[in-house]
Amino acid sequence: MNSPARKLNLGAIGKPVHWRFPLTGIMAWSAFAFLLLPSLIIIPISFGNKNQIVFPPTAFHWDLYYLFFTTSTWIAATTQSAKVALLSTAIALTLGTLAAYGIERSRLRGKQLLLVVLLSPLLIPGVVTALGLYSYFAVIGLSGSTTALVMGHTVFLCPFVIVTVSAGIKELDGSIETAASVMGAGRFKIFTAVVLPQLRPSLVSAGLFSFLMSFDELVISWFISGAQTTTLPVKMYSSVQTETSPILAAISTMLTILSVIICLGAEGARNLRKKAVAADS
Amino acid sequence: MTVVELKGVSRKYGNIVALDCLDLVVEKGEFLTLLGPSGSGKTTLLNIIAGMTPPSSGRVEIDGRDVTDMPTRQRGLGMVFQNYALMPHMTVFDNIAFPLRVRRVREQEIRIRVAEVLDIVNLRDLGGRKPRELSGGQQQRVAIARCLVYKPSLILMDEPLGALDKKLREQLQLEIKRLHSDLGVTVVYVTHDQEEALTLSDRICLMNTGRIEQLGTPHELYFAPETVFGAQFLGESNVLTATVSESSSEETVLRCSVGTIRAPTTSVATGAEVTIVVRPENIRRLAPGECIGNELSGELIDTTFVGGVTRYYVRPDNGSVLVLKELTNRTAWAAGSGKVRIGWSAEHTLVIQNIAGR
Amino acid sequence: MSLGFIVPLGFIFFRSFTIDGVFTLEGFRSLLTSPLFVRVFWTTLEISLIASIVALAVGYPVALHISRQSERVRSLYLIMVLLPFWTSILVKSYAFTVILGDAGLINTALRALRLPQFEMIFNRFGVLAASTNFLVPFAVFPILANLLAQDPNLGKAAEVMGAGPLRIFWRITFPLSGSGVLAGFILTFVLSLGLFATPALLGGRHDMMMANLIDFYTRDTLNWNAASAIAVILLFTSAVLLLLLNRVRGTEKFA
Ligand SMILES: Nc1ncnc2c1ncn2[C@@H]1O[C@H](COP(=O)(O)OP(=O)(O)OP(=O)(O)O)[C@@H](O)[C@H]1O
Ligand SMILES: [Mg+2]
Repeated sequence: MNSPARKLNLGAIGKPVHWRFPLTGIMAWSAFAFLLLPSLIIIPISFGNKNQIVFPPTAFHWDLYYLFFTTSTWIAATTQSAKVALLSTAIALTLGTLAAYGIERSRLRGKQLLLVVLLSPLLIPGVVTALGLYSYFAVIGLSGSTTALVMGHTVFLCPFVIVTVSAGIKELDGSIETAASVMGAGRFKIFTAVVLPQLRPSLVSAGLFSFLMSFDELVISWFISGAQTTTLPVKMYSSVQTETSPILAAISTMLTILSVIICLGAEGARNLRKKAVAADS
Repeated sequence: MTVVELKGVSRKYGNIVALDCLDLVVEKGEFLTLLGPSGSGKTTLLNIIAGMTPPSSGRVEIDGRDVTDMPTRQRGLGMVFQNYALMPHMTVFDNIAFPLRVRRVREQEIRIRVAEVLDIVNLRDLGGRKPRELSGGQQQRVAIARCLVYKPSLILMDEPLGALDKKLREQLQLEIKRLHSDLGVTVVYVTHDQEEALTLSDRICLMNTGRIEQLGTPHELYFAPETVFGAQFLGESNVLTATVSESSSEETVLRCSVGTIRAPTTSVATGAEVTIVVRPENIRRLAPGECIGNELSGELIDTTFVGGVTRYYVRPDNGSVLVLKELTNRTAWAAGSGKVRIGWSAEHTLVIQNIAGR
Repeated sequence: MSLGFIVPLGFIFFRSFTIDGVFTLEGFRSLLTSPLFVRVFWTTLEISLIASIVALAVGYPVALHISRQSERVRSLYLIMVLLPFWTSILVKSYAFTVILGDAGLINTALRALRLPQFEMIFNRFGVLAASTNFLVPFAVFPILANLLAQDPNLGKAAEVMGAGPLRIFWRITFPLSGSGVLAGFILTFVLSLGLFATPALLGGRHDMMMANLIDFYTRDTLNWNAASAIAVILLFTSAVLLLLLNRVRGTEKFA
């Protein structure tokens, strides 16, 4: 800057011009209403009339819940969903955690590509996965079995576990593992004694949400479940057209409550992690 | 003429008192620096002037008008940020034109004015570039140009050179100083770098824990610190506690652990506990038998050679280590040479009254 | 383990190019000439396009509002997005049949007020309403991430220079959020391409989407070749869009 600076010969410059903009809050709250109301409106209906939907409900009774718990097909479907969800979550959690750890701690050249392949089921349309699994199980003769359902859900859950656990591993301090290996711990020992305990919050939240995803999963189950292995969402889906009773309102309410519980549980796990981090530093 | 006046301004964040009942006047055309350690409230003070943080109590006046409740955008100020805060999606030209467009200036005039300020900050041909295509120093010049272009009555700068390396920082300090004196703008500048504050400022406002420790010219702050904090924050200091044993119109005599010390006359009463400060560069080695007012003998415990100056660490016969600083010369003491004599003249003893609560 | 996914995909590719084990492009050829497929294809694109755009329009103010809260309030608001996000799509679609149906809440209310009633279910409107509801959280997340990553000093600098909130939004915040909006658009669009339960529950005969058509060919006509060919087309479209998304993510830094 060696040019001779001059006095700016600018005259008085006018006043700024502007408007008020109070709309964001209103728009956001309308959106929240749009997001939350549908599920909330189901709740009063689930306590209402047994034969048809009446709104606002004129009476309060548990008839629909009673109906659900006394209908063996509904109970069977619910048990089946819980079974499939538990099994596939357990398998996906094991495989997904190992895969996430392997990917995060390896210096493979194809790491990026591997990750894309592993994660793609998360984003490609569920119906494509469903049809693929359907053809595959038809060929190997597993169609309609619980095994097929568990395998299918595991394929669908694994990418989610990998993403969640990888995020947890990224937060870990790799030097602790180095320290452990310097002290003579083997790879297996390091993984079980050092890595897993630190990952507990991620594992808890991955497990909870995997369970929920599997329990609510419709498309894959719709393609590969059989008459004897119908899951709850499949039964709900096929009964929307046929069922006249608003029993689905009761089921929907219970599913919504399950989602809320799982969200709160995961939030609790997250806070635990925050506390652990705060205690460390 | 007064540009900014703060009257009893406080700011609390929960239990934290970020600013504690502070009065400050900024005169038109002056370069005032807020200097202080991290967390002393400099940014908070700047934000209160800008209107981005409301004060918990007190009033703010700009150009003689009470603006305490006036929103930021109506105050007509300029501000330069440490991270430049240039709009990444706009060209340099559009960035500088932004405040003019806000003011509905005609496009034709905008072009003239932008060209003018680009000239002033020496970025004549870079109007078409995006900020990310410029170096850090150039980006900060664009940010400064963006402030100059609409002639705000006051420009606030919060550590504008903090993200630049030392060389570039010194170069831009000179440019900012030149812009200030050439354009006659009023600047309130925040830094925690004492050299930067001494280089740039007309006045320095030394802050500590939300209060003004001392306000004055760089000279006053350096040569007549009013508090121990001030003495230690600007430049180096040897600090001793002492008691006034004799106070006359010619001199003050103090007693402390290293012996009797003479200082210029002060208003402090005999018997008062005070703190005395001596700058390392005012202490020197004494030849045997030489007397200059205050003399001590002690043990040389360390010598460090830092290029142009050499530091000596001397432990007096009773008391804690004193530092003295001398321009390096051939006849330096060698480390571990045992007993030495050091001293300083009475006029270099600064007597600081102990004020309750500080 | 990724075999668990690759193998079924391989089956789809194999099936889509073969009939009874013999290589043929017949599946694709007959699809492209089938009025049913062509109609469903365009319906799918149309619904996906409209639903994602509406979801972005609804989600943007939500993201904007959340981004302006303090950290503690923000996590409360986020719960209000996460709860619907984790609610079963079947539940949400069912809820919309209850709300929009002929005997549903809105029409009952209109009837009570002696106002004209509307057909809002088993038509395009029903599908769009429920799809949008499903997509909004997916639009909020990328936009919110973008808004939170924006330098807060930009707004402050503009404010000091005299800009009002509306100008700051339209000249700074919004243009800078472009990559977040684009990411949100691709994400919601890809997700809506695969919608299955929503069009089945809320749509009419003319609102069938590709996933439903795959289901139709698989179950009702047992035409696995056609079903697989549609799946390949769906997969291909999604993959292209996702690669695009990856590009958007890659360039996000610059904005
Ligand atoms: N938004 C806030 N919420 C709570 N406390 C705050 C907030 N902003 C500032 N403080 C507190 O107020 C005090 C003064 O902060 P301020 O940012 O003004 O310091 P500073 O002198 O600018 O420091 P630095 O040199 O680090 O920038 C600090 O103790 C800080 O923790
Ligand atoms: Mg600061």
